[in-house]
Amino acid sequence: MESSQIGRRRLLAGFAATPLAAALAGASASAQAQVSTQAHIVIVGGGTGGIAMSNRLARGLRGARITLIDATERHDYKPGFPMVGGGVWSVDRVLMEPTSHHLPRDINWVKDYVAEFDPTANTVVTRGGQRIRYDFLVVATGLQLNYKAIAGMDEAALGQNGLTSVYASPQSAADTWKLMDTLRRTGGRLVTSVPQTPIRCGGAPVIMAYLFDDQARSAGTRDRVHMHFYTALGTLFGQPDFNRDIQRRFGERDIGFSFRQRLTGIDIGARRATFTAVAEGGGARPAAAGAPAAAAGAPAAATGAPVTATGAPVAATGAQTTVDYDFIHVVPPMSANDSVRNSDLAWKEGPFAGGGWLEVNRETLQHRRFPNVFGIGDINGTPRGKSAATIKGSAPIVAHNLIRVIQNQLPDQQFNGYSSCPLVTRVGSAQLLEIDYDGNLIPSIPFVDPLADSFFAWVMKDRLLKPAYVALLRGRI
Amino acid sequence: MLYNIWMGINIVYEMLLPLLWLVVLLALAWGLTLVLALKRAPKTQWRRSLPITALFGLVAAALTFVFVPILTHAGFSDLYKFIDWMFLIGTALAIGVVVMVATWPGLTWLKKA
Repeated sequence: MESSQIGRRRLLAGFAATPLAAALAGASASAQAQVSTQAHIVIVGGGTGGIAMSNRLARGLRGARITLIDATERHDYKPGFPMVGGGVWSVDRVLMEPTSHHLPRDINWVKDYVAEFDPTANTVVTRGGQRIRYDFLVVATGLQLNYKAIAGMDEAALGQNGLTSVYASPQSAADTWKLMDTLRRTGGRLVTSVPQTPIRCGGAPVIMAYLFDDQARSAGTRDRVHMHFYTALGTLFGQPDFNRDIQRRFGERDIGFSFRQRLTGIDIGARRATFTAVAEGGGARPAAAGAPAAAAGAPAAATGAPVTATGAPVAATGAQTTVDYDFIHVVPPMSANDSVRNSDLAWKEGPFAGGGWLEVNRETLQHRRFPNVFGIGDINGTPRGKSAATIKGSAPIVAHNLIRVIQNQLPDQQFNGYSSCPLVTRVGSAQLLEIDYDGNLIPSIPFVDPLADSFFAWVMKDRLLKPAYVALLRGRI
Repeated sequence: MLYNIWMGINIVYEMLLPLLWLVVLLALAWGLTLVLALKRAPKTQWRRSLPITALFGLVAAALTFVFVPILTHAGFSDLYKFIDWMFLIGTALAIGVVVMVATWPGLTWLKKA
């Protein structure tokens, strides 16, 4: 029944899309002549990158056998989770059609997870014990959320006792808003935490802080909500201009902040969080390396916070601070999936080795030691946070370079690390952040000042980016 | 630039896809009225129905201008920049033109009837 519905939908969609495709085929980044091959390409991971690559490779290759390995049958619109957690969207806006709806027709979908990579033998082993050989491999596993790295943390307890995190699931995002809505009525102490690891959608913690502040102001209870933003990093944001802008806004909006404070423990029942001071430099994300320290003159941290007026920690490295809260938003430490982390595909040295990220050339996104392996999305050990826009920028390049390698040619397209995020500053307004690997601002739309509040950027986030995301999954943009 | 146009078309396409049945229905109705108007209405009728068609388009544009901020949880106070106003005015004009094109044959035919 379901497959026949999908078939009908696809038929209608294909019918409707034909004239569009014909009219602008030349403009599509995916426009590429088909290449004949008998190669077996395995894509590990059925998230945004995996699905987009499936569609692009299915379109770009004739005769190839393409296998996708992922047991997740539901695909959520993760870029929308902060909008749900911030009380702007209802949860149904981030629920999408099943993964099967987005996959190309002839793909071989193995509904299992990869437990082991053996790149020397060109083989992956699934949790179910299936050994799958490949000629070419695309690693698109995304990342894993390590809630358990926080002592006392229980992911199952999210949504109760003031404990929230928009990252875990659509439900946890909805619960975040439910508890925030309660807090803005009663007032209380609101705490947010950011880990020192690379995270998915680096702007999300700041967006959450802005939305919490805005929603409390809308309710007229902001003076009763005491907000404090703890980050394990030495900055609020990796991009220097935005870092300064966010510090200024936090000051204006009475959001206190502390640097180099890592959430290491939590007592859920007592609503008490323990932060541990991180050494300078030891808390720097590879993506944020080189970012300036806190600007002098930054606003004073809120009363009782263990920081100086410039945001520098007064606590010695390793010192612990216990904070009582009524509401906490936890951004969990994140790392590469264990299967990648424990494999020969991971970086063995350098700033990305600790998280076990995939060792790819940052321009071609080809593995540095195994040329028949490519990576896409969060799993890549490359600078800067990743977003759906990163996949939009890199998927055509990975597909193109992989197809060249299949043809025994060298990759010739280079990715500049493009990442983008409409940084919601409040309901109705956003900044359009677009950066490259080096943190340079690279605005793609003329006349839009990246640091300015913009209704246009807000409408993009609220209405336009989800349809664009679906087109991205289908490999059309 | 071409890529941005391509992306814009994809966004509109994906937004309309869940309402594809309605779009097809409206397209068929529009085609029918177009054929009827072309067959039965004299050419002068097209020109005579233009003012009312323009009025329809104007009303649609005005409604779009007013309601887009509201439907996106925003307000006019959120429009600071030139690009914001251009975006809103452009969207309103585009909707107005679409409504004009959609209603012109029907109004021409109705005037004849």
